[in-house]
Amino acid sequence: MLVAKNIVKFLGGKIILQGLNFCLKKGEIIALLGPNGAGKTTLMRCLACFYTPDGGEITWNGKNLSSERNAFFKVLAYVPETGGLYPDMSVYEYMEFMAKIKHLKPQQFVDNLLYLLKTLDLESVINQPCKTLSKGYKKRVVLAGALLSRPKILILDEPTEGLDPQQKLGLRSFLKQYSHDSIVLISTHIMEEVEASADRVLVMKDGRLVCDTTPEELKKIVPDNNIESSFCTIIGG
Amino acid sequence: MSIKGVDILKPCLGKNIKIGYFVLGIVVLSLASIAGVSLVADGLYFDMTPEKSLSLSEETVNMLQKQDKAIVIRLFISEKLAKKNPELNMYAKDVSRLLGTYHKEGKGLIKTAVVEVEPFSSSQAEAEKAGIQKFALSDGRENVYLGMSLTDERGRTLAIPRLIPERRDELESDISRLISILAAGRQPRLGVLSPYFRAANEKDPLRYAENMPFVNELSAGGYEIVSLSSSAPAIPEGIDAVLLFYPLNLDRIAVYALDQYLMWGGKIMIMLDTFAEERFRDKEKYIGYRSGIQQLLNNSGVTYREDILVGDNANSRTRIFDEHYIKYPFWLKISGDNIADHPITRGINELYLNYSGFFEYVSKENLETTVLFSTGADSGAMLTEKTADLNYDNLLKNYALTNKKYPLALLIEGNFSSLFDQPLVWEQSILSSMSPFLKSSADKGALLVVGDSDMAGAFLWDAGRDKKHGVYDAATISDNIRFMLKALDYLMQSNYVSVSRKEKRFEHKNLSEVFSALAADSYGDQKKQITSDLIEIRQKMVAAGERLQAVPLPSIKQIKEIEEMQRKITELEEGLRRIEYLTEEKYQDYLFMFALLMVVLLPVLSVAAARIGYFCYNRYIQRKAKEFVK
Amino acid sequence: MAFKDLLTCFEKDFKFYFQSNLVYLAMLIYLMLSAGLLLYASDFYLNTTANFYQFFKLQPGILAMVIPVLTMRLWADEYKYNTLEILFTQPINTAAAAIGKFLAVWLVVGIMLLSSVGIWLFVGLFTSTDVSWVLVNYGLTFLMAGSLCAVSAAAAAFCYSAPAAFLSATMLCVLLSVTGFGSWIEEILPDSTRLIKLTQAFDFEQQFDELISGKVSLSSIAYFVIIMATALWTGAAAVEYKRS
Repeated sequence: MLVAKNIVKFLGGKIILQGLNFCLKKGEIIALLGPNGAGKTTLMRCLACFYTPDGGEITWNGKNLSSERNAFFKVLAYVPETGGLYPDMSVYEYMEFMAKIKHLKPQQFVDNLLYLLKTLDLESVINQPCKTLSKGYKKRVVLAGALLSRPKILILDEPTEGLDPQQKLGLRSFLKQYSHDSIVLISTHIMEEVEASADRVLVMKDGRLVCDTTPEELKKIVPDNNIESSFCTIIGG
Repeated sequence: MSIKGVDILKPCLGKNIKIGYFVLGIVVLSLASIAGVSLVADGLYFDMTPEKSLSLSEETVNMLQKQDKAIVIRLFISEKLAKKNPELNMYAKDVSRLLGTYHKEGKGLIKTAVVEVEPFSSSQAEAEKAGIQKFALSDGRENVYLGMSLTDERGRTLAIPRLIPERRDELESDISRLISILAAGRQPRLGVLSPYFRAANEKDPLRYAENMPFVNELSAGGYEIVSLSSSAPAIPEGIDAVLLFYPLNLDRIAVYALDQYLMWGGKIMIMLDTFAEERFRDKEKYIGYRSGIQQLLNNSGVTYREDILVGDNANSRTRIFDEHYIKYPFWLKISGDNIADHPITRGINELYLNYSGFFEYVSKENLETTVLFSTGADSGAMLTEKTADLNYDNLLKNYALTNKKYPLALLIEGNFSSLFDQPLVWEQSILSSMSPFLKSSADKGALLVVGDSDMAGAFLWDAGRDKKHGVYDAATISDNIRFMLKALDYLMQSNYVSVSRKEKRFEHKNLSEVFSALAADSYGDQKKQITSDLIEIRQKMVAAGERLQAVPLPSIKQIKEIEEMQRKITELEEGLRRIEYLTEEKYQDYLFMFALLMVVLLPVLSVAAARIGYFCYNRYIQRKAKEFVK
Repeated sequence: MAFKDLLTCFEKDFKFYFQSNLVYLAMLIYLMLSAGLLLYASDFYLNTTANFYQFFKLQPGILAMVIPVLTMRLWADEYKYNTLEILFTQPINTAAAAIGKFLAVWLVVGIMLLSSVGIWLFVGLFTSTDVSWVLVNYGLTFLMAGSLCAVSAAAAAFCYSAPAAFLSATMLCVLLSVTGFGSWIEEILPDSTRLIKLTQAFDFEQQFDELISGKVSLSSIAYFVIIMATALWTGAAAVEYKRS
């Protein structure tokens, strides 16, 4: 269980996160929604321990992240919105690097990589340098790299951005399956995706959490049962 | 980076610490560490130079350990030197480093300072006062200083007026000698007795010393040279050693003085010569040699054969003698096992002697005799009188192999007994000013005899010396003078017996020399041919000219012949000039090719090799990935 | 584990150089500059030294210009490709990454230096040099290059873009390596011997000159090691600061 208590973060002299409280449980896909500049990426980076919160604390199974950082990194994977690949590396070299940096055992690396190559359909590009890949492939390679260690917490910033509809469907079903014994936190603008895959929705506005509910409940906020209208209502659009 | 699980960066990166302060903090910390280490580790270093030019010899270290006087060494360097003469500047740096070593080994008593001499400043006045010699740089415009002064607590100053790179091997010896003199509190006094010097009552007794430049070298080495009179019955007080140089019909009174000097524990070095080249330079006829010192030597068990010259084909130098290119037996080159392992000869590699006599000796009670150097086993001999009319044929006729090893220098130490039974002087007025007569030694004395005075002759040891530079400019001094210095140091029992760098300097050639030689080689045969043709035709021309002068009216044929020869000479000279031009062109070609290879080809090849290396590695990775997917 | 992480980062960055052609360009520039300046900007033809002194003497100046080319993308690319977020959300700490990156540049510079052995061997065909001394000088140059790499990497850690990293690193390296500030003090305050001696202890050029001239002193070696350590620490702190 990942618990955030009163998270505060300043960046460039501005307050970005203003005392966020929530709890993420295993088996859930949580969608993080919010307008541009709401603080979604900053929150994700705080949860991924890339940023250290200036106030409050984040705990994983009761243990504070700032003191158990390295142990936490072993169960965490974070995929940024863009990039995340070393352009001159081949896909195989990238995977090898990620395995080494995640301290995977050779057999673990082989098993997981084979599984991910097949699942994410990356076999054909294994020897290709990352810079020559299409946007969709790049996204999948970063995701494969993140999933190599079978993390318990998966934080994905705009995971379906740039994917074609078929790939989006594939990813959604993969995440659904993956979330059975993990926490999956995704940030997105696409309401259709929230409806299709999220078990829970966190809506942020100006660094505050304004709504913590399920997609079904979110829809009910407006009379026409439209999730987009509900979202707009919450954020005051 | 973590220590015991704690990130060491963390404590420094508290939120309130600004990165600027942090960086400033660690920069200050590191500067303090650098300053601290430079203070603590001052003088801790490895000497990587092949000649160990940053380390001092055992002799110097021992001397520095024993000496207890505070000495300041100042190195005077003109500021212009760095810009105008990089080679001298580099040498100055080496000297400065060596001084650092003296400071390190000097128990805190040796202090060093570098004084940058600026024109018309107090530093220039200081340099002049210390006796530093100014000299002109190659462009002739600027006068600069590069010298060293050593001053003791009492303000006594000794100087090396000018430091020159050619004397690099002697640098340590020069500095150590001056330190040892300052430490002793007085200059060692050497009395020289020689017919080459004028009588002592004359105004400038050492005037002739300019014909014997070793005197300059000894003066530069810190000796006070005193000319002794050959008619005085005693060696004056305060003389540390006597050098008897080329004694010639020495007065009995002088022999008496030397004998009594030995009895009182005196040290004498005698350089004899059966055939002194210096003396016969002006083609004086050889009339035989009589030193007048034989009796004194015999009394110590030594005989000097004044009538025989020794030769040694195996240990000699080559010369053209009557148009024959031969190993000339009398031009000895003594080296290797023929030089004994003794403090005097340690570090001496090659000694040159010309027409040397030799010694015979018998052991005497209370005396220890050591052969310092000798000829090789397969030596020969010739009567000295035969040198009067020596040519190639006479040499073959008169020089006979004896297969003996001839001692050329002996050291006799111990308690001597007097040659005289009673004093030679009876006048009370003179006796009262002399030490009492002794029949046997009151103290241990030493007598060093050398069979050839030419050893010290300028033509044998200062070849290549540039006379323009003044006193301290004997550039590359040979082992001959080094032997004299060491012998005198030893005899005077000074606390420092000079050493020179025994290690051979690393020999290597400049690239420009190499390419010049390569270019010259390309046209070597042609040049040789033209030069020999030119010599031949010039000789013919001279002969023809002589013939022409012999007849009152030259024939047309003769004139035409000379004209033809002149034309030929012009042609050959033109050919020589063309070859020189071609050689220069070839040299430039070599330089260009070399530069092209270095600047373009080698870099491109190296980069290509690295690229190929990575390409191979990449192929390996790709294969690995393919196999993985399969 | 920290050491393993360090090696992983090192391996990644080391490979990066050879993948990106940057190193080949830098190597070519370096070798051409070394050989060209050796032949045309020193008295090498006339005064070929046994310890290959002129070649080593040129190295701080040349490396001060070449090393920033290698380090400019060290951190800038991590920002550019958003890989910093990937890297620092792994069980790896900042210092390990910073040291790993530094070691990668250092080794690349080492390989560059090694490639210049060809110049030495080529010269050695025509004139003899003292092999052991030259080898030791290569080692000492590698040490000196390490301090320039660390300074350059630290400058890169403060910048987000490659050109800024290149400019700041070049400025710092040139300031450090080419300017003998010991001699400045000597000129300004000629009488203060102690101050001169102290400032000479900070003089990069002089320290290196001492080493390659054969005086391998503990203080000179410590000087370069301290610079290296300081720069590494500063660089790691800069990344950590920017991250937090």
